[in-house]
Amino acid sequence: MSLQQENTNLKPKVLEVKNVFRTYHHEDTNIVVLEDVSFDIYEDEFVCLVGPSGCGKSTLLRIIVGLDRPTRGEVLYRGKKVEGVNPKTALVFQNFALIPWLTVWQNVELGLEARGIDKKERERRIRYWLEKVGLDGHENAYPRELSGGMKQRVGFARALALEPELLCMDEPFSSLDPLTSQNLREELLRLWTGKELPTVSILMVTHSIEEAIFMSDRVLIMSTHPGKIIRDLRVELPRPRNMRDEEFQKIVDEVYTLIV
Amino acid sequence: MRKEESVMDGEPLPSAEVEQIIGLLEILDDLGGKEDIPKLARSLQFELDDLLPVIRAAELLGFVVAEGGDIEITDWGYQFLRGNVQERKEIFARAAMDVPWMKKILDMLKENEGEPIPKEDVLEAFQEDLSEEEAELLLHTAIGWGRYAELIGYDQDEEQIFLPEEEDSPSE
Amino acid sequence: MRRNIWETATRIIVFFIVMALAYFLYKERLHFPPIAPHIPTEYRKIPIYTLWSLMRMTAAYILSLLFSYTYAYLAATHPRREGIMLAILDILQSVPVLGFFPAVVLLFVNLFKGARIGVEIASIILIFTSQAWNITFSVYESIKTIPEEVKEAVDLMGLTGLRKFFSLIVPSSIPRVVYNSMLSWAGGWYFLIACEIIAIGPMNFHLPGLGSLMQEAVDKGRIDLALASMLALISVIFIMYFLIWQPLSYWAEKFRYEMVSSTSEPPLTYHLWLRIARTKFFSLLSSFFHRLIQPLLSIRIKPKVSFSPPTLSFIQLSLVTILLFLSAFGTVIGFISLYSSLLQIHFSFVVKIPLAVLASAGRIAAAYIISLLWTLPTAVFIASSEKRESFFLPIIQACASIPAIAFFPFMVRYIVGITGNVNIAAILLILTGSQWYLLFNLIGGVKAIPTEIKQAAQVLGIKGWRYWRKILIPAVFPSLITGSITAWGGAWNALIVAEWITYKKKLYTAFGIGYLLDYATYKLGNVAFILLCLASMSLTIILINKYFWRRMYELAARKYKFEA
Repeated sequence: MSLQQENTNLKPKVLEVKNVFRTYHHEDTNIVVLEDVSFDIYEDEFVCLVGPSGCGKSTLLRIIVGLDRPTRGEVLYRGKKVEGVNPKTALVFQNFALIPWLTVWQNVELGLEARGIDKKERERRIRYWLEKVGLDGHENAYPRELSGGMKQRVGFARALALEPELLCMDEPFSSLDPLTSQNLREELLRLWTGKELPTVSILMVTHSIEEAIFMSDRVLIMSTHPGKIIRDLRVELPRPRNMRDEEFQKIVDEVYTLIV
Repeated sequence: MRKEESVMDGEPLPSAEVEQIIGLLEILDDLGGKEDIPKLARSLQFELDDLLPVIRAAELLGFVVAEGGDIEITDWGYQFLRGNVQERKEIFARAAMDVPWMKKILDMLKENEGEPIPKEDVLEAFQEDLSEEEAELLLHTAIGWGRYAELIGYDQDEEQIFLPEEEDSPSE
Repeated sequence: MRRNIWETATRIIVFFIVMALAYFLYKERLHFPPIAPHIPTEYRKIPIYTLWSLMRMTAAYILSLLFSYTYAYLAATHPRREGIMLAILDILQSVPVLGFFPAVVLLFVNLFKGARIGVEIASIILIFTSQAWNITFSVYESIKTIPEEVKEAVDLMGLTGLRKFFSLIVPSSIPRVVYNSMLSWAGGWYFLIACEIIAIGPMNFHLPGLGSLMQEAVDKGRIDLALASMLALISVIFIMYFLIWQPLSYWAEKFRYEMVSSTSEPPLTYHLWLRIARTKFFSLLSSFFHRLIQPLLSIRIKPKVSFSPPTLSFIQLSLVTILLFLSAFGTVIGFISLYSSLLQIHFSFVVKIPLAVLASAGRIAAAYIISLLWTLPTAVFIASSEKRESFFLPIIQACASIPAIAFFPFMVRYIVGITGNVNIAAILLILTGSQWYLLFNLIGGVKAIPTEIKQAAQVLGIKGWRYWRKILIPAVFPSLITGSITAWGGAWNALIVAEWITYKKKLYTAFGIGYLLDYATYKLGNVAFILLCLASMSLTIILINKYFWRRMYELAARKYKFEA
């Protein structure tokens, strides 16, 4: 069986999300965006959160990273409660979030400077990661000169240069055309399986089940209004995976039936 | 205003990003190396109009052949796909150097004794066969390819194209 | 619904507190220093006067920038004080420059015991009040429109405090600030005269500068001198435009978030500045500057986003308490004194105020309709090509900067002389202080119409009046509203020079709130009355803004916004 429902992972836990609720007050009503969300992320895992738009997965991601706080429940990182921005995580954004007046080099440098990393080490890291994501030659380009795929590569370089333990990604490929996203997905997976990433685990949010099954070891399926986790599945297809493979399509169909 | 021996050979502009070309090759590889073009567009949910420039670009570089509505990866294409990051750049560079309009830019740089040339000069050269808009688009593509292959560099502030310095040249 | 009432209540309460505090500070402390001699009115003094005026404008501008960034940053980053700070800003913006006379005179002229330096500072502060609020609003707006994802990315990287301020906030604000600075300078020039001739009641101080020169020339009937000084003013404006604003606007484009690939050519002066920026001297200067700021930036605060209210230390707490106590004390005394001196004012004066407001509002409305009629077609004309736009922009700025007084001779001789009615002159003068804002905004609005819409209209054959009614006007509606709000604001401010016309030592007036304010300041020197006029004007402006313009703006945002 390539899909398992129980989690029998014996590795240490990196992240624990415990009974998280997130509600918003709007005018006179309460909107429950997340309801009783609980799951754990272990070391060496690539986890995907899948769900339709509006199911709160982006909100959940922001709570995990520390940009937002749960109304109830808590998030533990390596056993300690998350208070404010968690420096062990990094986030890649759907719309890239690059600063338009800084060059590629300067965009990647920004976070390193803020952490007080010295000039020599900064240069080493920036050069290293720009090469790894395929942007060497583009150091002095401005975001407006770059295609969507290249902009996202800067986003990756920026995140990875900080050497995060947990890499979080918010629909990183959905603003890109199918060819470019295919390319980027493959490259990311290549780095991940080749253990070339400084990260221990990856958490990705997406609305595409195919993408989730393609990329991850584990898929968490979320429902919407309110957002809760309805399935926690392990994907045990060997890598490299092929989205156009019959075996792959079978699993996609299985997952769809599980949801309904 | 098209000459006989135009820069473009009368084909659609190969205005594709490098990563789109790579993406196309990877998808073809997954499909077994060959596919019917309209079927490909449909399965990707990609407009045929948007797909054709990428196919044209891959063809120009010798990575695919497109015949009778089908597209197939060449040996050269497989070599490119299987290579690591550095090998891919070298293969791409070798292929791109032979593309007429890239060659033109490299020639212009050589004539200028390796000094940077303003982008206007290149645009003018392109505009002998293309409209203003097409020339801009082609230049944008050339700069993207050139930067990837490390054949040329571009300075946005000065709006100049230059030859990048040899940093650590591969042992070739 | 509940929040709305709270908002209005807050604004009204703040309004009254500000008024009362102001009165407490003003009352019975006004000494009038001796009358300063009038300045020589000669041609050869023009260059010096120009430099003086330029110096004052620049000092006021720098002050405006410092104020704007501080105030807007504090307001935008603290949701709790945001409401109050914006309310105060709203009120300040509605107070015409004359309203600040008493405060400024009290503080600075008295401080230096009537010496020239005190008057200079007073003048600079007055110019500041005609420049600052506009820029503050634009910094605030730019902070609020930073894309959410970029803010998150910056927060996640641990950029906080001053570092975030210099790396994110300041650059994000540059496009809007540059644009609004041009407008602010125009506004500053327009009221220069009022700021260089500081007069309250018997006190009368003329500072050497273009503004006072113009006034004196007109007073003496020396049209030639007045024209010469206007020429000097216009030259300064054109030089500033080509040397500073044009290259600055081009450079500011690189800070925009909307990735619009601009195909426009950089202006010549831009290349000039690039060359300067590459010189050794400049790089020395900037590295020096960097070394100064570095210790400030390295104050590394742990990347933390705290949601709990900040805990104040004991010292901070006691300071805040003392401040609150003093303000409360001042407010109470202010209310009491205000009440008692109001009783002293002749009742007939007080009754006139509502009538005056009505009369002025009528004139402004008339001027507004006239502006609408000509600015809309002109905006369409100018916005149709970039070349046209860059040609007309400095001209519009120059026109907007011409002080109303330049038109006084014309007004008196031809308008009043022929019709015998100052009203028409007043309306025309109001135009000079308001129509340009409408034009500016409309040009921006027409430019922003997506090209596809224009092309679609062409293809469908929609032309003429139908095009205007169904496509153009709805499309520019948001800019129309913003422009109208600013134009009306400018109009209220212009009342003080539109309803009080001096020429050859004769006074021509039109009854209105501007007239009353001038009368209270220049003739009576009665602070309570000044405040009363100010209060009525401000209240009217705020009410119109809230119940008419804001509604229109919401309508515009709802119905007529284009999806990007």
